[in-house]
Amino acid sequence: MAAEDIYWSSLIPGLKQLEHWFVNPSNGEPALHVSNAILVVLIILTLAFIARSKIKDRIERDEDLIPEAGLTVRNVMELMVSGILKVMEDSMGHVAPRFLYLVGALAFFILFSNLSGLVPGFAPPTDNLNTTLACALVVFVAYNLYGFKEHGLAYLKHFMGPFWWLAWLMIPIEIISHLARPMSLSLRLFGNIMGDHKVGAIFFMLVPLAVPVFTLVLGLFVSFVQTFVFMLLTMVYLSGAIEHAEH
Amino acid sequence: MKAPRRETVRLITHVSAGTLELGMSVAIGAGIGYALDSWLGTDPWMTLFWLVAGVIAGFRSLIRVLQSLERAEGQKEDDGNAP
Repeated sequence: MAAEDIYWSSLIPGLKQLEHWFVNPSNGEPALHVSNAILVVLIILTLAFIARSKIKDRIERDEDLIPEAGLTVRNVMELMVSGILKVMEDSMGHVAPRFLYLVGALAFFILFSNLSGLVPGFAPPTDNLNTTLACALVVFVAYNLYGFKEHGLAYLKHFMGPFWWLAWLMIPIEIISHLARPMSLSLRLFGNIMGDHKVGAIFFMLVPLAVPVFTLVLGLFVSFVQTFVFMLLTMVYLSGAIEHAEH
Repeated sequence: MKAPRRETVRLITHVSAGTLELGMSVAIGAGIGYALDSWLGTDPWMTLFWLVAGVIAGFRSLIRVLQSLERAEGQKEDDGNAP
């Protein structure tokens, strides 16, 4: 990417410095994914604080929590959070509220990151493998931690497979398939968003009129589906880690 | 564009997870085996063993995906037959 490209993040003084601190040593590109991730987090935090202060206002004045009229920040945030919780309850059951903070935060970050790629002047943080690997490692550490918390050391038992005399083969197999999870999670998200971004850029270069709109529609679709896929797999791994002892 | 149903997206998730994990498992198995070989000097036995384990792990995840696909298909047929 050319150095004279203009991004929203470069307009903010602190973030511009940050980009040039974390320069990619192999090709000298500024770390746009770091600054854009911070920008995305700031946007989410702003929206969340607006929605929260509105709800808090009503509670403090002892009024009923009726929805506001029209499309407001509070309504959109409520809709998204309740939608995420609904999806989680569908696939996790009664433990869903316990993991809302983890899965919901990941979903918000990934969705806003993906969607930011459709806005000119943003570089989506998720089109860099470092960002997606960070998200996937959080999931990897979290589900293993929850597994240990739920079963104690007995969590290690399900690495051994059904028969003790097969343990010498099952342990390597389980280790490999557990290590494959964060890799496939991060590679899928990164590949889809980067590919989508590149296709959009190339179409914009070839035919700058009307045609890129279709890639934007495609990008919108990919953004939502990839967020959903990441969320769903996180939930599959989490419930797999906390369920196993029941069988 | 018609919005996909949640079940369809769930299916897409499992299929893409299984197929990607097939490749990843083989690569990770070979990588671990190679690292252990160069560390312990047991060339080529660790690479072989971990490669085989990786292939088994990959195909196991693929088989799980196919099983869940089959279950989903069976459910669809049951729904269709229900009066």
